[in-house]
Amino acid sequence: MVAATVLVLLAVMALALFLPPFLESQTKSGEMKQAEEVRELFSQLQTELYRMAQGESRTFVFPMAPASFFLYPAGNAATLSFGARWTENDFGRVTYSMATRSYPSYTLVLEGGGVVLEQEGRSLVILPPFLIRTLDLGDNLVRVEVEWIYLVGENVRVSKRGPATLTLQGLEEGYSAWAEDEPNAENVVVDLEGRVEYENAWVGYLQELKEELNAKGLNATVSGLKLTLLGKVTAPGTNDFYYFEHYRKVAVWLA
Amino acid sequence: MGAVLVIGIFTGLAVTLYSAYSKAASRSEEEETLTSVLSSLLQAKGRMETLENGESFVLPFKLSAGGRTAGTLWTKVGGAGRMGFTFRGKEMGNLTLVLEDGALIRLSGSPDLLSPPSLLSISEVRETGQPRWIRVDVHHLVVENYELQLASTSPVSLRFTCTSNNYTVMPENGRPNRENVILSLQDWVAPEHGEAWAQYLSYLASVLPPYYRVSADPAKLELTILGLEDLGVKDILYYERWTRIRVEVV
Repeated sequence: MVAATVLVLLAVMALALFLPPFLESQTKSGEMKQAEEVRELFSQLQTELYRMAQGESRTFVFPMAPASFFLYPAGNAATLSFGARWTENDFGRVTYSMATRSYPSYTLVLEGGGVVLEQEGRSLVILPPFLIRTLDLGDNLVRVEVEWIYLVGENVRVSKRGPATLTLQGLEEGYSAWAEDEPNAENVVVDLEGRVEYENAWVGYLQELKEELNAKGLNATVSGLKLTLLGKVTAPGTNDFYYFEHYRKVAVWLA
Repeated sequence: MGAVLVIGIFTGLAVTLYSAYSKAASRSEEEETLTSVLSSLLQAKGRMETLENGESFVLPFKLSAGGRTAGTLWTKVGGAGRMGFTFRGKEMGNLTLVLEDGALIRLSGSPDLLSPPSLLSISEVRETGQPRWIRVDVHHLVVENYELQLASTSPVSLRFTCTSNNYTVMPENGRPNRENVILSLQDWVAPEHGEAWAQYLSYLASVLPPYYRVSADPAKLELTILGLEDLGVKDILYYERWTRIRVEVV
């Protein structure tokens, strides 16, 4: 009888010692796997945004909860939402937020064609948009194309344990500014004020972009969310840019 | 006496643990099957939209969970025709996924539009940078074959073949052919899916630019596009395309 009790106690002790760290590591690994899967999905979303023609659609399936582990239920379900503010040029954004149990909680945002990661109070553009493309045409002339990506739809928030679906539909695309035979701009201003919500991440991204553009001799400056390109010729009164502004409107449906 | 007690305790523990394990495993298998069928139907939807006459593609469908059939895959004729999967889960309950005229709908309580169709698209025809006319494309995807019901414990493959792909209405000589367009789905889609289609029409009216003058009547399942100009002026290039698809087991 004593031996049996000792045996049972030993088994219980062993379980109490080894089970929690094992379950913790399994949970962390499941949550990490889900985070990687979602990040990959955001990368695919970004790629599709730039190649989707008008009228075309693509649907993505998002995991909303890590696989539950035997006797150790998974944590909260993720939240997938679409939101656009009532400001004139707001880009609109798809946001996936996961409050995890072991892996650091995170939020991924698709905004303005870029993907922003917010984690532990910091935000960063992890997949930059194709915001500005430049082409040196020689003779101090430069072709600049700015691409605006707008997401439109009804403001929706989905939170559930089963998979969620997100559909993108190409609504409209075109040029709002273009150069014909002559350079049409003295300088180019890319202003993200009022368009983005994750301002800190975008300020950091614009600083990096500025360095990149200055390395090409384009005399870029950044002030807050505004990037200005003076071009190779900084003296006022000379149009040295062939400036194109392209926009795409993509509708978002969540369920 | 001690040994009997130990065996008793262990047996009790094992039964409790096994029962919990079995429930969790069943749920996980059912979730996997449902996600797999959802992905297959979404792939079917995407590829059906781009099928040309005579083309076909094959997709696998996983219809089992834990070695038993998880539900029935079916096609139905009439109206737009439709295909779907009726899922019967021991742990997750019942639900139905339906693909109808390019829309993926979930029926579990009230119908829910999981993925909207590419039924309608509108673009602008510009002149000197200003929109002059609009082009409206309506593209119906019809599942057109004998009725089919299929349950299986092993994966099945379905072949989707485009039997015809025609424009039934299109402008002549590149000139606008409509003053306005009314898209009515009332007698076209299954009545039990009406709520999902109403969601789609309201969504279209909200995302399209206001100067196309698009309005939805969800109760009548009707969408009206007035175009840029007032009545009396033909300013819409209207195209109506029908793609008919046969679904069969490979």
